[in-house]
Amino acid sequence: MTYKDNEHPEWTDRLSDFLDGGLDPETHAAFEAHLGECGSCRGVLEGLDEVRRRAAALGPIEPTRDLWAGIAATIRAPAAGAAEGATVIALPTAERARPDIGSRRSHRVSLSSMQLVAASLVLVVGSSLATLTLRSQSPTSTPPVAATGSEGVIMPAGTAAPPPADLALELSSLEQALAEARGVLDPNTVRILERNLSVIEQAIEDSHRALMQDPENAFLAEHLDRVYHRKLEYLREAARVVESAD
Amino acid sequence: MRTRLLSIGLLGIVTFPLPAQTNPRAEHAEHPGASFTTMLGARHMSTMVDTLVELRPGDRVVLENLTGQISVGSWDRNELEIRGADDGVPIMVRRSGSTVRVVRDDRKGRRHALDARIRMPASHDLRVSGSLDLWIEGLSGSIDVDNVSGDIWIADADGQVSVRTIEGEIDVVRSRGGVTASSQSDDVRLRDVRGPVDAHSGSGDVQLMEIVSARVRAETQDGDITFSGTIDDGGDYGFFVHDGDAEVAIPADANARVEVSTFDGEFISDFPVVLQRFTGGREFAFTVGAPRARITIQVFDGEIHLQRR
Amino acid sequence: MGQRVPEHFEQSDVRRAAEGDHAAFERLYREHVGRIHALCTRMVGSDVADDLTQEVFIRAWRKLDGFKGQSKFGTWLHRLAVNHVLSRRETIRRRESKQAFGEGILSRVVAPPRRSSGHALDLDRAVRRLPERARDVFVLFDVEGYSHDEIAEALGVSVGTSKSQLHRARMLMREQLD
Repeated sequence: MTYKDNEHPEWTDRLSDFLDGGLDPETHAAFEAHLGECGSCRGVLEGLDEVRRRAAALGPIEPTRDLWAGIAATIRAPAAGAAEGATVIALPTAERARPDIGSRRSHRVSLSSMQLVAASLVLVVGSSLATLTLRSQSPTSTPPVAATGSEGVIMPAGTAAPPPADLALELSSLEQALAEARGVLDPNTVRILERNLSVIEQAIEDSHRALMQDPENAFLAEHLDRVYHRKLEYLREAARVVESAD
Repeated sequence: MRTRLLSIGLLGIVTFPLPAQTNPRAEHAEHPGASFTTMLGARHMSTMVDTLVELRPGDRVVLENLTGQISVGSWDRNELEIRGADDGVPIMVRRSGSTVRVVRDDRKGRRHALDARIRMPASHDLRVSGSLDLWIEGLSGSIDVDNVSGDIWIADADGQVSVRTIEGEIDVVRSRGGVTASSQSDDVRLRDVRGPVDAHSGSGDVQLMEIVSARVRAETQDGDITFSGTIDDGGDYGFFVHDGDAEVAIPADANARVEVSTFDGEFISDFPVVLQRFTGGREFAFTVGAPRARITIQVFDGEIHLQRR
Repeated sequence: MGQRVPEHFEQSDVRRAAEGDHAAFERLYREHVGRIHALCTRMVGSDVADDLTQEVFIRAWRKLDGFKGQSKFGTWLHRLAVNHVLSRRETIRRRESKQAFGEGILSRVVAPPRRSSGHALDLDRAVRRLPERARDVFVLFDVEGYSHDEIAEALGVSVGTSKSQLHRARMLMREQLD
């Protein structure tokens, strides 16, 4: 890395350590001696100290809109949400990049439930390329995000999704075992395990929220169940890692 | 055949032919079912490992709880050879019945890294566990890998391949006995594979290219799935994505019923679509050619693209 | 925000929230949202900071019964936020790469660094220009007050890497703020 005004990299590269008191006393004294006679390094040190002081003084950043409504709706119990007829405000879904389909003719067909029913459940797209847009078309099909954009999404979602009954016990005991083993694993392994688990938990959360909106949807129920099984497999794998670390 | 065993060299200079009584064949003959242990290397010093162990037909080789980098290849001798460098923690080779285990005595401290090349007869089964970067090439027995962290590359495997890692990429190329592969954090790539395929990534892509199989299952929670392969009559092909896209490329003359489900996404097809089932805003089924195979594509949030190969 | 909430009130709110009291949790939210939102903004960017902030509080609500009170609620919440931001960033990055041809990304890539005439750049804007790993360490060490040991564990790097990235960040910040 090349820095501006870095005349004595052997000194300047450790100036942050010096500032933070991370040098042993002997090296610290040597730094002080060098700084006493080197204006360039003193200048760099002052600059770094200025950055450090200004950073420490950085304060909170309040959001420009109230985020509480979206949080409150999500943490509210489903029964309460339903009883109060919790409002669902659909927000625009983030646009996805479409794959490059070159010179092929593209026919995109947006299908709402009503359109499909009106078509007697049969649709023929007689082209070489058909596109069905299956994105939310009704108030009950809000994108699966807690909140995006400026309006705030209100979801009739409940608290954490309960795992399927046949998995609950094993999930719970594996989670507990993993929590207890945290101390015996090296921090990097803990970080990896927790990061992977958070991906699965996010998937569970997304699926659960979607299912709360559309409880009759068999695909969503199956999807949630699959993610839970994936979580179970993952925890078993994590338990194997813990065992091998013992 | 003369049975040599386990020769080791400190820094590759000195070798120790082992005495006859450590011959595993002899020991096994005297004590059926008993295990033997031979220590390789020396404590507290960096050593070169140069080891040779005779294998019998049907022996299974187990590399147990190892860390570092290991490559495994095949040769036409009935012996297991381990060559490389370790950091002074002894390697032990133990036989128990028809299982030959290569382990390290890491119990008292942190894991130590081994950098080794292993050769073994192609037809023997291999099992590996630990935290490794691993290359395996040219085996026809089964391969079973349980890894914690490290990239895994397997090529030219004729037997069944099963590989799991918590963190690290998995590549399997030119495999003929089917593949089960799972990485919790990184990409899983299979190319030129025959036989049943079950590929999973927790937060990476799953790429399945040049697949010839009647049974394919691919799943990722946070990544894309790409598939290109044949569709067998009577075959079953499932692609499951939580957050990401699925691109499934099948032959123009494929015969399959295609079932598509998504919560929030878009379906793009190179094939004409005649909807036969519609069970809600985002689930439907149609047939390409005749309904001889089943293709299931489920994407919670992302695009589905059914392409012609 | 106004005056800080006395600690014993906060403890009471934490206990109530863990028992399902939404109003108590809202008070905790109001007290801490600025700091959590700042963390998300500085580490990932303002365009997704709102989403992440909401996710952090939803996650905190669901994990409240696991909060044993061994540290202050704010400390616990902040650590939860750091972990959440780090784990979600991969997904966000993947989404951004899918939108790589989108206008937003392009404008971010091609826009020349703006420097206000004769004035030092706003510090937060300078933080956003830091390389990701240097930014992580800078925000966590210099802004949030974590130790190198804690940062190394959270980021999965060595303490030495954390120190060198901090120095790198400070040097780059110094150049930007000159």
